[in-house]
Amino acid sequence: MNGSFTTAAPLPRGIALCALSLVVLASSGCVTVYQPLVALQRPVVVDPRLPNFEHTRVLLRCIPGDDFPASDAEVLCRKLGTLFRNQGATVESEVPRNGRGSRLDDAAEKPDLVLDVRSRRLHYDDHPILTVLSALTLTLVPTIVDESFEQAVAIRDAGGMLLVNDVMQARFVRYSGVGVWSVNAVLDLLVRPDEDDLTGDTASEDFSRDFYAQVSQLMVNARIRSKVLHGFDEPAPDVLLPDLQLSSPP
Amino acid sequence: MIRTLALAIAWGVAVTAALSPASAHADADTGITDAQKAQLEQLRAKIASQIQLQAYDLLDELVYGWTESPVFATDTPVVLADVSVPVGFGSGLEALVENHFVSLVTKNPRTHLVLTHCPRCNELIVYSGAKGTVVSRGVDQPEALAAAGAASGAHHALFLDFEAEGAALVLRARITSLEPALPIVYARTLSTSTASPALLRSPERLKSAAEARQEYLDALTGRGFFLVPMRLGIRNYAKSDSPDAQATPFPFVWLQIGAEAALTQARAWTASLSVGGTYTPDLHTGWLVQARIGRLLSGSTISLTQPDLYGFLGGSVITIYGPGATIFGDKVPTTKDLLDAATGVSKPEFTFAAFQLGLELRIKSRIGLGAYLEYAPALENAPSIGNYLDLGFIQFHNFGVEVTFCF
Amino acid sequence: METFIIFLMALPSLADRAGDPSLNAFRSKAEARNMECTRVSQAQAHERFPGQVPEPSPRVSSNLMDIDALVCTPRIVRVGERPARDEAILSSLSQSVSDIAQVAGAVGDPDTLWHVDAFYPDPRVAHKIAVAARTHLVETGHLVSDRVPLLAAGDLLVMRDLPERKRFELACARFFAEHALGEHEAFLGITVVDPRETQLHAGVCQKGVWQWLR
Repeated sequence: MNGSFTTAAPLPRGIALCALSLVVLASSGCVTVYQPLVALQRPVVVDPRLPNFEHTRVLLRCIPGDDFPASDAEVLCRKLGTLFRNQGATVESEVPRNGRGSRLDDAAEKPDLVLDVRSRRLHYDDHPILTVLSALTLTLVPTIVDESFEQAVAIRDAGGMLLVNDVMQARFVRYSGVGVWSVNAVLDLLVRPDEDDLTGDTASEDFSRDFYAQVSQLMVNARIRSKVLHGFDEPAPDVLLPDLQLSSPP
Repeated sequence: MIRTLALAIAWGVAVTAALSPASAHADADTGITDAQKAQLEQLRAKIASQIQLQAYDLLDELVYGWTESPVFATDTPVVLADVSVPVGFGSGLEALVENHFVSLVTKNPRTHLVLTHCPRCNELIVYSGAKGTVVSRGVDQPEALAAAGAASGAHHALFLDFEAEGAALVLRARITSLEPALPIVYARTLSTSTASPALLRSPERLKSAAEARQEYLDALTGRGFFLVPMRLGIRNYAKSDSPDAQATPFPFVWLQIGAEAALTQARAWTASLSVGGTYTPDLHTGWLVQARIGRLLSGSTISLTQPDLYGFLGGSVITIYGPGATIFGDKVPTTKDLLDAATGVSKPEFTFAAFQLGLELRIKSRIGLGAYLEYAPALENAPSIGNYLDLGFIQFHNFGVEVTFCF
Repeated sequence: METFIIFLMALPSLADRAGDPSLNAFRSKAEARNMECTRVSQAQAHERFPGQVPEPSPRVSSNLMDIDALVCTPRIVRVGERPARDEAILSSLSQSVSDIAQVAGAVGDPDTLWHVDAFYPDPRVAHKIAVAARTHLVETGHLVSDRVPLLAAGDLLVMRDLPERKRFELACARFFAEHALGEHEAFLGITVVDPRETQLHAGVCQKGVWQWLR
């Protein structure tokens, strides 16, 4: 398994806050549950350990928005860059900001594929009553925060033709409290199989695994569609090298 | 000679092999063991039984559409050429779907479809014509059927195709005219994601989706958001283990009446307020006011066909008058206390709060059978009252059962 | 006593989560992944599930209270039961053939008679793709035939050794030359061209000329 699959994509700040509150409260704990809503659980065929994008120049554009700060966008672009470099692509990335021109306009050599990623929060729900009760019971009653996010991916060729357009949605339910954490920690230890563990960083890892796999699949689809639409005139041969050594992720 | 042996039936396989490079990689899923295949088959059979009703629903909607706007103006012989089920499902589902469809068409003559038996239509036949020799199913070579006089009078073939697309079951129906060009004269796609759910139809009297939905809504609203529950119950207080406790608590029979409101559309949450009374000659008279909140545990919505299980929490204020009230006091009643109360010299009265935690089984929101444990903080100091369950931070002093009739 | 009351207050919020489709103590990750979920407005949710979701109150403005529902439906075929590529193709079949038919419909004339076939390693999946495309074309007002044009065995043998681009071009030319396709007929071919992709490509053959659509 390529390490990039276990590298967490930048998740909502709330999850980072959750981790922080774990340290601060000491006696409390967080359990974050990840649920793929749309597209993230779709079957994937591509093997990201293989050089799927050799001789392919890719420009990654992680576009910040209201719910997607530029710092998170930079982290995401960096990780996606690693993902595609490991698959043999030549990658450039940028985080477009107001007033700055795109690298696409300046580049002497146009990229073969341009990947745009946007993210926004679809839904946020906390339970104020539970928060109060949680405080009164020293977190024995958990607080619950329910958030859903959408990642929109658009892949174009150098001429700007839209090759692939897809939307993925994920939900994160964060339970904070010593009670809920203790019960889940015991269940993880004694009852649940490892793949069903809830404590620790599993939500982040599971989301990253799904997200990177889907983006890899979309890029492969886009590359092949581009090839078909250009009459199969790409010079690059499609040779699969299953035993190719890949660089490690950051 | 080779040229004349272009086989239509081999077309799909041969051209796929010739045109699709992906075929070289078709063996990606061949690493499945026999045991895994057997497990998969078991799972598929289980799922097939679940999707069967969805398939029926789609067929209902298809045939209903034909009764409203028939494909043919007059009765027309049609051969059911093919029923295909989702990839991975077996022929058992095909047989069920086919039987249901035939039953529907037979019971709805307004469709103007007359299903015809045509064995040769679905068999492989060999036909030699001017362009060569072709092997194919009869419906794919109507000229061959016509030449053999084997079309059984049918000039149209009907194809039903089901496929599982994510969470939706999709039905694609098409009717092909059995003439050399095989033109498709009718096609329709129906999906469970867009069709109305469980349409509650009978084959003899199909309804539109709108009608079926209205029936469902009527069934829901017919139960009303407000009910008047009448409860007949018995409260049994636990006897204290203390050696000082001489009196044995006796059962209190209560009759309560009140109002119950559904807090959600599905009656997943309910709240009720009731008043009640208890009377035993020479022993006690009592009144109570009780509020309850109930939560449906057996599903997210109440069932039209199965009993529903609710969990409930309640709070009561109870007042008891008469000799019977002495057992709730904070001292052990003496013989004199009891005699004074019985003769009217003293008038014992005890008021206390109690909290209930219980379960109730409801049948169609009409009749209920419930059981609960009750915690009364004021009885913690009553030497005559013990508890049935002590959780440390809470003791349940009373166990009650009740029958509820809702009006 | 106070603790008990606090627990009672928390119970409604916690009990509500018992029906939550996300994984929990009683639902594994695999089960949660076999759900297809979408967030819909309260009005849409009421339309689809009138027994479970109440009608939005006209007195509550959507600006004041943003209420929505998470609608989760279990997949009919669970993840892993069918080969991954078949599952990906079949799960999005309606959308794919809709996109293909839309592009193809723009290529032909209104009186063009369409022949449709699909080329996929698994013939059952190929059949599903072809049926879906034919049905959609008819539903969108096109003339469609259930017949597929045939080639001679010799042609097939030649095509087998050609690169993928040439195969469809040659097949198309032979269809026209052999009168398997007439002047006012078009052939819509749907295929996958690479084992790593989970999408369908389509091309049209008209008057002996093959043209890739997507």
